[in-house]
Amino acid sequence: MSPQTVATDALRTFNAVVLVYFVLITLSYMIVTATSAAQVRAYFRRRSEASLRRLLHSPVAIPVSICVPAFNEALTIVDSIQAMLTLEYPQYEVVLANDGSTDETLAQLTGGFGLRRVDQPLRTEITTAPVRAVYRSRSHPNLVVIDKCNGGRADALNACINAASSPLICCVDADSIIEHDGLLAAVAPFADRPATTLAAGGIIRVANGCRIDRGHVTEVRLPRNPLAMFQTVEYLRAFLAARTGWSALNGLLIISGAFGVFRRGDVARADGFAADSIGEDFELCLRLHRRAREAGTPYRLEFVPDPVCWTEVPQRLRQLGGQRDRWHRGLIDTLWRHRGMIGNPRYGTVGTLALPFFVAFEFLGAFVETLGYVAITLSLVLGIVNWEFALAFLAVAVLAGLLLSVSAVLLEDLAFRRYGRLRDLLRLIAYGVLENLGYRQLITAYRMRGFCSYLRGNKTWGEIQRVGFGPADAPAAGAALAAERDV
Amino acid sequence: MTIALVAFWIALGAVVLTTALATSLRAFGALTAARRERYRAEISEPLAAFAVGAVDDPPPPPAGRFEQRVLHEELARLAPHLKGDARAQLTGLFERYGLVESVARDLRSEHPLTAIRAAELAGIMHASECVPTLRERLDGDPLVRLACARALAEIGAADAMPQIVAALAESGTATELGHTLMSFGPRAEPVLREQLRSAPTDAQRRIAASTLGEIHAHAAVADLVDALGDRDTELRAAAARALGQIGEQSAGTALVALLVAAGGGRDVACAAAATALGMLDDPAGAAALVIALAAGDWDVRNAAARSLVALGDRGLAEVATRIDGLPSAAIAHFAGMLDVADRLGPVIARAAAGDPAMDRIARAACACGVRSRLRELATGGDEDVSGYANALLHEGSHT
Repeated sequence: MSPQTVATDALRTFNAVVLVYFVLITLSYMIVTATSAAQVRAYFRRRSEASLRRLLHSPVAIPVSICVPAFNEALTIVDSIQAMLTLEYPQYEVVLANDGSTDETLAQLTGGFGLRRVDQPLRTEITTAPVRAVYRSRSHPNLVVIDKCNGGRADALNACINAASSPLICCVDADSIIEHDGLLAAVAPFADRPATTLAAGGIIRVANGCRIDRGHVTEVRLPRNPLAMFQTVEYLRAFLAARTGWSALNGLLIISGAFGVFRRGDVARADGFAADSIGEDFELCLRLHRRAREAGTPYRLEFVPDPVCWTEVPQRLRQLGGQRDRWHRGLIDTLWRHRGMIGNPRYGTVGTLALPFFVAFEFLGAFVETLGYVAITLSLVLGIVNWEFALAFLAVAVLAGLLLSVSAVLLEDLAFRRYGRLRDLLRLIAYGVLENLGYRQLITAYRMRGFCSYLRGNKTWGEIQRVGFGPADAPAAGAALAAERDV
Repeated sequence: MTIALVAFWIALGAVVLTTALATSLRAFGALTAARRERYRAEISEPLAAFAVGAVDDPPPPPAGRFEQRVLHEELARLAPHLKGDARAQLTGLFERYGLVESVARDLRSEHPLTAIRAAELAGIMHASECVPTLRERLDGDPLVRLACARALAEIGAADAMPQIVAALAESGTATELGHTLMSFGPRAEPVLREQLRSAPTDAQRRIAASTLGEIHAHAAVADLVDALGDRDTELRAAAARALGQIGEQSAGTALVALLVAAGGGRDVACAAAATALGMLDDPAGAAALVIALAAGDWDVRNAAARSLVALGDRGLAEVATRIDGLPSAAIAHFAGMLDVADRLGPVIARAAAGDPAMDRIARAACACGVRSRLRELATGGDEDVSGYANALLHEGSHT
């Protein structure tokens, strides 16, 4: 057999493999989506507003410390914290760590909340970068501000955890907006299943385009910016159609650092967030799974589909690229740290199902897709496949993504309908279709870049620029330059 | 080509189907919402006016199931805001319009949310006629079970308590069981004491202890003191906290013993005992708390410091007396908690005015590095206080 024949056969086989891979990935995601739909339905068959209200007035409601890491957030910090201080929850405090900001973050806080420096004793359970000072608010006794040297997001969260006085901690980004009853709904699993719930997360939605007044979303609108629109569909798919399903299977691997509730003691005993990790929320969740499985204790990591946290997403390609690059490095780094769990039956659904799924489709997906595009182009040029096969390949690839996006949009519309206008629904569907013709390929390219950065040992977060949410009478669409968190 | 065509048609079908389904459901939802709003607007104000006696005639009775549901919702929304005669008016209307039967029917529904909402309404309306149905559903879906238990508590069906205990214990919602029993108030005390003594799981016993504390069950003090010696640390902690909430002075000795027994090591019960002692007016407790300030475990030390701050002058006096024997970490922790409670400033002011006990605390705090308040007062308006603060800071900088 000549080398040319071997190469031709190899290319043909690879093309077939890629095609099968696309079918498999679609089927797997569809199964997860179907599980999510069933879970959302079951959730709404039981969720009673009155039960949630009862928790609000319950003397046994578990106190919560909202942990907010902040780095150069001067533009939005006062509004964000003001909004956090008006959440509906019986007993909570806000612990903010100013992570060595070089802008006016601390000055804004001092002016906005009448901070006074106190000599508050702090735990040293988790090692962090040095704390410079602790401040308490004269006007809001439940606000604590820790001023510390820069150590990164995970380090700032750890400082908050050291200072937190409640048994539950809720990790939130400084520019995130939690809906007024979001905390109540996110804490509900801890009240319902106190013995087994280790962590719970809510849904992150895209704030770009929404009307925002003093840290509150007053009108839900879709972004005008196409890049933010694509991400809106993407977030719906990631949270509603994926995490809900994984949660039902007790295989939830990520509780977003932008909005996640944990038991303080469990996180502290696990040495907090890994300060040297770039995917610290994913890494912590895996560590919690690992510890609970190894200890043989029954546990659950829950995703609750209706407590909402609004966040800005990048509207510029450079910022989006940096974000996705970092997310992919975080994914690889965490999978590598916990490689012993992959495929290991000792770790139950996480080891045998969720992690292999992540490796096969989240990690390898970018490679297969990229190589697939290269192989098919090459095959076409070399005449190994005809136009019909290439078209079939493209059609299957597009169909795979389209089915998932459209089903996520449908699930959102049936269960939550946050985007009330019919025009919004049609736009979501349209972007669900369009994202497969360019945006998806772009994200794949960013992920490949992330892989290369990881190999080069890049562990930086990149620069984050914010210009804040828009004023009350203007949509926030043009506001965000970047938002840095995991989907 | 065939594959591409099939894929294309599937994609097109998915888009068309999704759009059609979502649009038709939206249209149906909009029609239903409009109908609901129309009926709600029709009955909402007359219902409130009737309840408060502003008009004699209630709104017309519901014509069908849909109207019944809306009326249920309106009653559930309105009733919790009303008391006395106004509430009785609504309860009368609830019976007169046959809503008891419709709630009982909904309670038997296989749809959990329908049953849960019916149970909630039965509870809000104190519909004692629904008690048999509510008791029947105590063996169903866990959340329906919970809603029925809460409704029975709101109605005050005390004889259902043993059944509630059995139902909620089975579903493992110990916190909810405690909360539900709490709604019965003092009538729940015997059941809770029994739970504390002999419930099959530690979780249930812990909740019983916490709930006894919440309802301030003085008669349960002896049982709670016994529980301080249990093998389960969490139960010991819950019992200690409950004794603090009840505020029974006689429990002081047992709490001090628990605090001392752990020897300052990591123990949630020890920290809970320290917290409880801060709620009692017990001289022996204050002395034990000062000793606990030197505990190795941060949480115990923190609870002791918090409690000493909560004890006010008694706590300050006790710390001042024993301050020479305390390690600097203990003094810094106590002074830090005083500062957080905004009480360190007044202590410094009293020291400046010549109070020797406060002077000892202020000097010790300064020596341990707790100086933020001193710095603030050093530049303040009061000359005596600023002079004292400056002197202390000056001394501190030379030590």
